[in-house]
Amino acid sequence: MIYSDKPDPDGVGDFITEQSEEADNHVFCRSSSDYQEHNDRFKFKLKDRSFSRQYAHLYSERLMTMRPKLSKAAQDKWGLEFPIRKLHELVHGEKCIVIGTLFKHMELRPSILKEVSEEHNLMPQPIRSKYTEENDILILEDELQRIFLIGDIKASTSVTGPVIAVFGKEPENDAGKFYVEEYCFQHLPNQLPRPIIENDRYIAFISGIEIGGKQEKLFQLQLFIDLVTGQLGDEGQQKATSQIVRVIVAGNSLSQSTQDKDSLNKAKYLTKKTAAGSVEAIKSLDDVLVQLASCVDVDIMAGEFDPSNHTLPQQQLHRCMFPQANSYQTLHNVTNPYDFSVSGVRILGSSGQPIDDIYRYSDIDNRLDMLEKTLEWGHVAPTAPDTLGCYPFYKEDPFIISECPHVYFAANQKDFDSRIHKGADGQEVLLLTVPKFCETSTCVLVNLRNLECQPITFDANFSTDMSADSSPEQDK
Amino acid sequence: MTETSLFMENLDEFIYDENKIVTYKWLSNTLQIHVNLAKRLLFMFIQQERNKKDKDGLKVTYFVAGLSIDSNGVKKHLCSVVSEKDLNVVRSKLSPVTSCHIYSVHKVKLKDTNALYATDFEKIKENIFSATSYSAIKFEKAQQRRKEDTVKESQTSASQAPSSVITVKKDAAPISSSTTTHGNKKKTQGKVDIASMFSQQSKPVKKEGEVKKDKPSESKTQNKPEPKKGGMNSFFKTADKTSFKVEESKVVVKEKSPVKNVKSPVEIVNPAKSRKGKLSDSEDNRTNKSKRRRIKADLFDSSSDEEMEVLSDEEDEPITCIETEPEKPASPKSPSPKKQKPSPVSNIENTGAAGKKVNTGSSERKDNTESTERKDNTGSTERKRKRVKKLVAKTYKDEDGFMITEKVYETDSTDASDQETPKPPLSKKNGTDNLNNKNKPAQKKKTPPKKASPAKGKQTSMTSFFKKK
Repeated sequence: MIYSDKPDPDGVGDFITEQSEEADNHVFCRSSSDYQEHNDRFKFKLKDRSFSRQYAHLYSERLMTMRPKLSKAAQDKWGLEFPIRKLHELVHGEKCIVIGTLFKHMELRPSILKEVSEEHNLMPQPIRSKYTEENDILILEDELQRIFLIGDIKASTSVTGPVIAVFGKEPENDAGKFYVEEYCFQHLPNQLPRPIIENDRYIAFISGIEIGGKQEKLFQLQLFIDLVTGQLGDEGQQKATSQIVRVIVAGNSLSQSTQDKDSLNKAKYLTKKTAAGSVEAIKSLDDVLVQLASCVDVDIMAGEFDPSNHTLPQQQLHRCMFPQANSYQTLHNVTNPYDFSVSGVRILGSSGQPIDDIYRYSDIDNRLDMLEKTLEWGHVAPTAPDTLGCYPFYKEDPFIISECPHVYFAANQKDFDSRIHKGADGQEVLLLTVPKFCETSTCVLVNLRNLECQPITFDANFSTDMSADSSPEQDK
Repeated sequence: MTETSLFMENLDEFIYDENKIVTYKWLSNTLQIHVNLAKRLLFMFIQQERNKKDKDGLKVTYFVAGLSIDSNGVKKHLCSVVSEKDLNVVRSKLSPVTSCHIYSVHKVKLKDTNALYATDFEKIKENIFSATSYSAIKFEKAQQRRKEDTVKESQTSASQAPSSVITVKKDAAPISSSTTTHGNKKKTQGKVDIASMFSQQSKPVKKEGEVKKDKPSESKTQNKPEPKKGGMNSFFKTADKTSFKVEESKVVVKEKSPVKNVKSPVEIVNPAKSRKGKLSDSEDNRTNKSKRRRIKADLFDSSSDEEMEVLSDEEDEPITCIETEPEKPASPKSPSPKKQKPSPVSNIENTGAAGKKVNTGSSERKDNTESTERKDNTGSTERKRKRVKKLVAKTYKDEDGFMITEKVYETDSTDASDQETPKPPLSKKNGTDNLNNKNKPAQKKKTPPKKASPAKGKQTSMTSFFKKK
């Protein structure tokens, strides 16, 4: 149990002591695990893609799908005596429940219409880290109407997109506004119980490798590869490492600097002979992946800076980008968000774009809190398509959380953090933020047996102190 | 034990004589031993050296791992490579220590990790697929895919690819060398995708391709497409196109350019072909063939006068061809060439080009036919990428000191959507009185092939705009 809070290693320092009787060529077999992918709703069929639809379908699908769940939650919370009304049926002064999509009106929100409008003559808005301000107003929209929300609901901690049930009334003297007394979201969906796993099985999460950038940590990355493939470490550690069954590379494997968006604006005759910055970086990534894939199952997700489509859900990185690594069957290219289960443990997560977007449009600071909120709201990316790029779905909204996962992660965050979220029905969800490797040199191991997390940091420190030479050669 | 002593000698050599930086991984890959054994050897070596002499001149770095509590109170597993003198300091911070072994031994003092990374990186790059074969963990499922598996993948992913992919791949497999199998496989897969991409476009080409191969390739065609043309012939001969591709160079990019170059003869052939498909007269075949030859010649020639003279010999044929054209079905625009014919001719007279007038007139008529062919063809065949001969004005000084502006053909690849916009080059020329303008015939060339489909309403209106001239 080396990768836990109380490791009990054995055989430490074997290789710096006198040789024991046994030969030094123990080979451990990597544990295997069942794997199932639940990604179908995120994948596009090549022929069906059409970007000429409006996004209204997505919202109406969302509302339609979540309305029954919300009415159930509302009735559970406030009882059956209060009617659930649609906005056009509202009666002044009557306490009732309304279900609709939340919309947050923000003045500072960048709007292309304002930029382009000539009468305003505005300069383009500067990029800020947060677009919230005090005057933001919340509006509830259902299928036909919208109404302002005032009262016991805070605009600063809400974002556009989640479907909400509010309890309150429309005051008689102030029509057009709904006074909220309480509100609720859907119940956390049912969770299949986690199977009992006897041995430790770990999944390693790594994100934000950002190859090609200034901050790339290639030596630490090589240490990570050496550790996972069982080269580094004493025998006890190698044995524990053989229990890592899967490695998830969760996005931003390439750095932002490899994206050369200027070349889109330059004339073709200027850019014809120049290779894209991402070519070299992908080759390095391929070298990394082939080493990992030779020894463990690897899932690679696309991230914000990776060569995949910009809108969510991001499709798999193409096989042809990893010619060497693809020769192993253990390499899997997967979508972002990623939904899968290993040994019966259901894991859902994204490369971090939804969380980053919520950070920009709300006042919540802690990333793990944001992650928890999305779980409460029941939607992986509530701000899509409002401020987060999204494909215009019209048959279903694939981001709705309809089955509760056991592990819910967001990658490419600033720090490692984890928490167990307990649901009303006894669900236990491990919330996890995976830090960027280029900044922290840290990856995360999750133990599937008990949902414990352990960050592993790789480090190399050589002091350049010249005075402590053990053998000054000039004497000889 | 002798094996060990052999290894130790090697190690001695590496470190002292070759002054290498020996990491445990480098050693294990070089001597082809288990990583743990390499670690042990390094330790033994150090022991030996340090017991032998007081000052050994060796620098050692260690790998140490263990649990540590960082500033936030988070317990994390720290894995660190440290130099020998820092070892105890770092060790004391970790409780408990889970690993500690030698990472590298060398004579030089290291300032940072770059040298360590570089030695290992070079070794890894040498044999990328066996980089982890000496590690302590093996995974049975991590097998390299066999070729058939890659074939299946390419089938499922490229859903539009024709089914001949499998047979192609199996042909490709023995041909490609084993060492570069994987790289090539990806490339051939890429090529297959390209094949599928233009297989749809070139399907009409394929149908008529059989006739094409009987034709000798023209001398006037550029040399570059010529060898590729041979490839294109085999392309048409066999059902699976990628056998041709396999013979070609394995680089996808290169493949694209020959494909593009090949397109020009294909395109030229195609107009003739499509008409050929309609006509059953052998006579028409003959005229078609000769016309084809002439057309090819014309399209490929440069702005040399000889060409024009050669072409003037065949004056009769173009005229007959023009007459046959109206008889053809699906040529609602055939009146238009006739209409356009007189106008450029008259324009030529206007500009007062001396001597060559007759020639230009005839070749113009010839070009009318080309253009009509083009028009017909594009009406009858599917739209595809055209290698269009663009009329470009080139200005140069004559022997007499006159500035001469000449319109010459330059090949240009256009999108299928860029149908030739009918350029009225003559309108420009008329303005330049001082220049001795030689009107290259076939401004007609640019008259757009009329689309039969009404969806191109805009285009038709554009052409009607130009027709008025």
